[in-house]
Parts: sequence; structure tokens; C-alpha cells
Amino acid sequence: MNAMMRDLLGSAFMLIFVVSLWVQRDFTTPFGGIFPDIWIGCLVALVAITILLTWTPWRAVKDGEDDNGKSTGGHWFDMAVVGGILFTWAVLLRYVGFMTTGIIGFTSISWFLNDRRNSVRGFIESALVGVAMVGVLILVFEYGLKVPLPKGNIFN
Amino acid sequence: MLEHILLGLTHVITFENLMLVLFGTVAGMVVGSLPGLTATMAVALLVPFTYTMSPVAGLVALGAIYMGCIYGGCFSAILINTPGTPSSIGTTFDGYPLAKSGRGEEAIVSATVGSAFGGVVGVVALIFLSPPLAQLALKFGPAEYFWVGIFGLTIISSLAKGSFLKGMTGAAFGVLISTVGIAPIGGDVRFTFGSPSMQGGFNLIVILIGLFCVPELLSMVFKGVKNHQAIEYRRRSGVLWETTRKIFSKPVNLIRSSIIGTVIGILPGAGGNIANLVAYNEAKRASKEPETFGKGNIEGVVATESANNAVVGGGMIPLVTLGIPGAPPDAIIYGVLMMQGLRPGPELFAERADITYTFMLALGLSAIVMIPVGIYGGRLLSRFVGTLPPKFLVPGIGILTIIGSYAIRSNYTDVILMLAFGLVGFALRYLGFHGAPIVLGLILGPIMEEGLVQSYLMGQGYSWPYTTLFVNPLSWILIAMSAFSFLWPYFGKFKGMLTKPAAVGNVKTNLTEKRD
Repeated sequence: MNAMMRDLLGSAFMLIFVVSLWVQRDFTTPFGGIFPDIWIGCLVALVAITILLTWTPWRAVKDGEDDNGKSTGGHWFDMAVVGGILFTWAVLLRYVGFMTTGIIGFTSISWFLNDRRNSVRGFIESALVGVAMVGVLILVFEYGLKVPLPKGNIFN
Repeated sequence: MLEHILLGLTHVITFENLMLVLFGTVAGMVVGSLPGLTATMAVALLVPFTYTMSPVAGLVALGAIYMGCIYGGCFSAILINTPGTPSSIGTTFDGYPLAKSGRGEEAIVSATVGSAFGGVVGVVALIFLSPPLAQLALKFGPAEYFWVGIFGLTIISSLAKGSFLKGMTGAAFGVLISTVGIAPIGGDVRFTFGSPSMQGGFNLIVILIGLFCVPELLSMVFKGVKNHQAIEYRRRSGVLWETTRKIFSKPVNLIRSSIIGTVIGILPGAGGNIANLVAYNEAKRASKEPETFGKGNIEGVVATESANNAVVGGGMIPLVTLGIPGAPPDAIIYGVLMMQGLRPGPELFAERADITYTFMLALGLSAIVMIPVGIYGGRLLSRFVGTLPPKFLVPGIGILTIIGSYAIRSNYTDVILMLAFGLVGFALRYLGFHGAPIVLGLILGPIMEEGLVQSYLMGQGYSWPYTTLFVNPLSWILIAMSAFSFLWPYFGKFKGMLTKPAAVGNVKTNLTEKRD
């Protein structure tokens, strides 16, 4: 993705964010909106300048200037899978609890990133480390630091 | 002040706090030595371990973790030519050539002595500069606090990596996120999408974990995880004293780099990643043998490591006096202070001087503890650096981010929000917006809002209610400083000085987009 496209996408994201705030403006006192309105104006102005500069030689970031430009050849699929596992893990935390989601989440990410993904040994290795990691964290947080970790609704 | 220092000293020298300093420093060193993890991420990951501690114990532990983490970055910089944290980028330039030529221990000792010295200088500056600055801050009214916020935002946007325009846009985005929830004056409920759970606004620690940990984790997967091979080094008798003598025979480099680190740390948003490169450049410029830099000169290692550890103390100065984090890891400490019911700013000195001085002295103690731990435990750490497989690192970080965001309020929504902010943070970074300006906007937003609205109320007698923002001479100074930092990027020369050294060395990984 080139710099111009990144500028435009970034500007589009900021505009969507501003619009989502603007449609909720229903201040009941004279002071609630003073500050957000000023900053909504500032953000719109900054986005407008970015978009205007996109078609000029002075645009925000030129091709090759930003390190992110180099990350075009990354592992999008791997990242999507890991992000998906993390989200599933977070959603299931409420229902299944920390111990089960922790072991499954840790094992699945570790197994997915393992070079020996297709071998049983690779899976067992990931699972064993996952169990050990979760066990240590439960010991440290529940018993050492007295921080309660989620037990899960279905087990209650 | 002396009585507060003595009181702080008696609190630090207790078995519990000494152990916290030791374990915090070691934990920080371990996380800091892992390539690709920033100091901010390390502090954010280890925050949950301090949730149930007392305010003093939690701050002592976090300070030690931060100090240890910045130092720990030197191990991977020296032994595998990959900076553990972006604060150690400059250490690779001379540290790795030293290790390759069989002088690894010399490089480690140089980095250790430099880090400890820089850390202590930063803490001394923190102890002696903070009280007068806090006194000055007590003279600030609402208008001055508003302008302090504007100054913080302009300076971080100037110093942040990438474009100034994107830095400012990110800061404005952060400021607007801070307005979600109940307004500080008037009590308006704003931008909650009708959800009662959003009335309290977003929890700062949740956003910080999301913005600083999840994008790093996803970046690791995105760029492909790989193992590193560390250079082994053997301990030889006499190297410790010989190297220490050599370093102190040229104290100017050590002192200059520590001062550079402290000053850069004071600037909001500028962290060790900038300080280490500026100090390296200055050390090279001042050296009688500049041609030896980049080929294994211990002065280069000493300069970068003393500067990055001096940033720790320097960065705390604006935090404890004005409530403005000097560097991104300070933002986490800011969040923890707020969580513990302590408002960063001059009140910390006025009302909780015992906690403040204990924290500052614990930072200094942590810098001293790094010497025995680094020199005698360094070999163990170097083995760890080369052997921890990334396939366990990524889910390990994932599990800590989940615990960290859940355990703050035992709230499942916080975990989802943390991941959502993480994904947004990754996308924004990919689009050229970096985390530091967003976080500073988030922290300064409420301070600026209170200042602006109170000034507006005070100005009701004027034909233009905002006049009160411009009537005080202190406000004029802050406006001038904001204008200067706003125009700074256009001067170009200074920015050139900051970016030039990055091309000097041969850094394997592209870590420069990350900020500590």
C-alpha cells in the first residue's frame, strides 16, 4: 500500500470516528460540548489538510519514508488467525473461565506458530507449555497475589 | 526536602521493598532482553502483578521493572545485534562488533556501568528538580493547565516518529476518546452510544495495554516469528575492573550522555529511543577517534546505555510535577497512580510526599541493583535471549494482556475493549499513526478540558469568555513554547540530527517505528 492510500484510509477512519461522535451530540448543559466541539473541529481540519496535501508534493508521508511501507509483504493470514483466536478467547472467557480458555488459547496460538504444525509432537509440546503457563499464572494470581481470575459462568 | 528523602529511604530499605526492587529489576531485564518487546509493553504486561499491592509497593515494583527493562535491552543488542527495546538501537552499533570480536563481557560491563550511572543521574535530577518545578506548578491556574496540555501535544507530535500532521491527528483522536463518558464540569454524559457501561469512560490501563501490547504482538506474527542465535561470552577475571576503570578514565562521555538522556526524558513523549541515538551521535562527534565508532568502541555503548537509563528518571519529572508523562512507559505509571487514587501533579509532593520519595529512591536503588544482577546474572540472561522460542512468546504475551485487562475491575467488557483498541492501534500504526501521541492526547484531554471550561467560566465578565486563557504571563510563556514546538519540525536541522545516526549502524530488525 503506498503512502497516498494510507493517508486517505487514515483520513477516512478519522472522519468516520468524528461523524460517530457528531451524531451523538445531545449536550444537556452549556459546558459539556465546549471542549469536544473544539477538538472535533481540530480533527476535521487536520484531516482536511491531510487530504489536500495528499495530491501535493508536501503530503504527510512520502513513499518509502514510513517504516510501515515496508510491511506490505507480511503474513496477513497468520495475523488474522492469531487475532481471531485472541478475540474468541476473550469472548469465551466469561463462559468457560480463565483456565480452560487459557489452555486452549495458548495451545492453539503456539501450535499455529510452531514450525512442526503438522506433527503430533509439536501439538503436545504446545499443550504442555500451555498447561504449565496457565498453572503458574493461576498459582501466582489466585494464591500469591489474591487476584481472582474468571471461573466461567457455565461452571458456576 | 531532606526529611522527605530520609523518610523515603526508611521506606525503601524494608525487606519487602528491597525484594520488590530486586525482582522488579530482574523481571524488567528478562522482558527487556527479548527482541521486539518495548519497555512500554513490558511495563504494561507486568502491571497486573501490582494490582493488589499497596500504592508504594506497586510503584516500587513498576519503577524497578521499567529501569530493568531499559537496561535489559542491551543484552540482545550486544549479543544478537537486535535491540531488545528501541532504546538500545544505538547499542548494537558498537556492542555487537565488540561481542563478535570476543569482547562480549567488556561490552556487557560497559553497558551495565553506563546504565547504572545514567539511571542514578536521572533519579538525582528527578529528586532535586521535581520539588521546585512542583512549586512552580502550584502557581498554575486553569488557563496554564490548558496551555501545558497544548504544549505537551505539540511537542509529542513534533518528536513522534513519522509525520507531524499525523502526530497531531493521533493526538486529537486521543483527546476525543478521553471525552467519552461523564464531562468533568457540568456532568454531561457524552458519546456513550446509549451504553451505561461507557458512562465512566474508557479505563486508561485497558487502552494502554491494547494500544501498546496487541499491535506489537500482531506485528510479531505479521513480520514472521524467528529464533535468534546469541553470541556466547565467557567471564574472565579482571575485565570488570579494567573496563570500569577505562570508562571512568573518560567521565565526560558518561556525564554528557546521562545529561542528554535526562533532558530528553523531560520532554513529553520523547523517550530512550531518541536519547540513545542523540547521545551516540554526540559521543562520536566529541571523540578523538570517531572512526572507531561502529567498529567496537566501548564509548559508544556507554553513551547509548547511560542516556537511555537516564530517561527513566528524567521522564518522571513532568509526570510527578505536572501529571504529563515524559515517555510512553510513564503513561502506564500515570494510569497506575490514578488507579491507586493518587493524582499525578504537584499534589503528590504536597499530600503524598512519602510515596513520591519512596518511589524516586526505589528507582535509584534499582539502577544500582542492575550492576550485580547484570554482571553476575548476565550470562544466564544471554542464554535465555537466544533460546526462548517466539511460538511461546506470542501466546504468553496474549495471556498476560487478557489477565491485565480483566483483573483491573474484573470486567469482561474491558478484555474485549482492550483487543478492540489493539486492533485499532495496529491498523492506525499501519496507516502511519503511532501510539504515543494518541495516549498523550488521552491523558491530557481531561486536564485540558477542565482548564478550558474553568477559564471559560472565569471569563464570563469579558466580552469574549476565552480572554482569560491569554491574560497571565505564565500563559504567554506556555503559548510561546507551544508555538516553538509546533514550528520545530519545520526547522529540519534538529530532526536531521535525530535521524542521522540511525543510518550509522547495521541494525538487523526494523524497530524504529516503535517508541518506548
